[in-house]
Amino acid sequence: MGVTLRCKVVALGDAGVGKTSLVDMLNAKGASFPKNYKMTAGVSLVVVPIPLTISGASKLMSTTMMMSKSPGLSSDEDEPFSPLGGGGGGGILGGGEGRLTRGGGEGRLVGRRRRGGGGGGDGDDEDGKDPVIVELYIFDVGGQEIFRELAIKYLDNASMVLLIYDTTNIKSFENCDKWLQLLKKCRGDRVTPGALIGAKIDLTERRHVSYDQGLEFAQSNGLEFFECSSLPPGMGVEQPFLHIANQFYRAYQNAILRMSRS
Amino acid sequence: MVDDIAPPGPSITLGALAMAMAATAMTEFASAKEGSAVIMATSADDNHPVEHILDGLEETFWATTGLYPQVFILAFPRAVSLSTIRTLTRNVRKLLVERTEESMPMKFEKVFEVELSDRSNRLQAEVQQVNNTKAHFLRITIKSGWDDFCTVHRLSCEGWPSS
Repeated sequence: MGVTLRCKVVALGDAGVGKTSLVDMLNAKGASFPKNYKMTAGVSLVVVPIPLTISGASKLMSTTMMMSKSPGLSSDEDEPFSPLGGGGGGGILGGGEGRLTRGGGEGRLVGRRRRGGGGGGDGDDEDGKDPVIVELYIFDVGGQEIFRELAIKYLDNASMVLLIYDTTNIKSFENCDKWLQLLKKCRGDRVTPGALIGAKIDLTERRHVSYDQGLEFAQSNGLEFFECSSLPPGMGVEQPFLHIANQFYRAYQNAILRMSRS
Repeated sequence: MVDDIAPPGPSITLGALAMAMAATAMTEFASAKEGSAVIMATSADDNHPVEHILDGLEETFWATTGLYPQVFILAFPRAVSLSTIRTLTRNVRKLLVERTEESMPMKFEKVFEVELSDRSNRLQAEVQQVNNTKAHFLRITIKSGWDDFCTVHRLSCEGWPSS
């Protein structure tokens, strides 16, 4: 089936943990990694369409759950997602022919089938499956205390959350709990699914939060855990977003099923 | 005496006839058969297209695919005079219905706005008497929902051809 889903995502975390860098990296494929710190005043919105290839939703369900131990560092094999990148113009994320990944030219976001065939730009549906596109409306919420009041307005009807901390800054990790509490308060009793992301893993020598600490916090709060580095060429930048897109699509399918039954 | 009793007979018949005529004249305009169509919708899932709203079936539905508000515009083949608007939905919270009599659906004015109760995925039936509201187009806005996704199963607009 062909469908475009729209998902509101809030990116939360302390000031300076790299929320904007991560979102920019996904959006601009590394073309605009900021050289200087650019404070987000208030909230900025970025829309990123994520195309998914649906080869049996159950496959997606099981594979998204088993992320390899350090997703950011893992190699290109065991690709848990199968997004319909499209080597050519059609795939939005894949359009840059693997620029999101480590310069190899065979991007994670470029469908396996299409490897080496970039630039064509025609026939995205050559495998006969209708595309599912999840448009992520990412509200990048400024982490500064002064914008807190403003941010609250944007949390109310969020479908997904990206909670981000800096792996070199233990305080930003500890504050994740506060951000979650704030989100819970704004959303009533409803649970907001999403991902916890440890950023700046390229700064290995300054790391203060271990992978296991992050994983434990994520699991106890029902979030999927990822680590990444937004420094070009980027490591593990796209996985959290793919996870969210997949999860949102699954939620849609489940909702349709529930509503068809009752 | 006999003459006095006789008149009520025909007058009752006339009354019944008038009622019957009124009942037959009332038309369901929100149907593809009448030439109505949904000319715009903010969500499109091939499996649950917006045409399902007008097919007269309860089981089929239009699904919204995330975010609010969600909007669709219903076009009648000509301006009509509506008496009752019914909706059959799931997970809709705030519903706004607007109308316009003009031949271009540009400026709308409010007919009614309601907040439906949370029936956790079960059908919500809403009936509104709208007192001969004239409309060529109806714009239905789902301003918010009880879930990330909601559905519209049926829309019924009963009334008379506008004179």
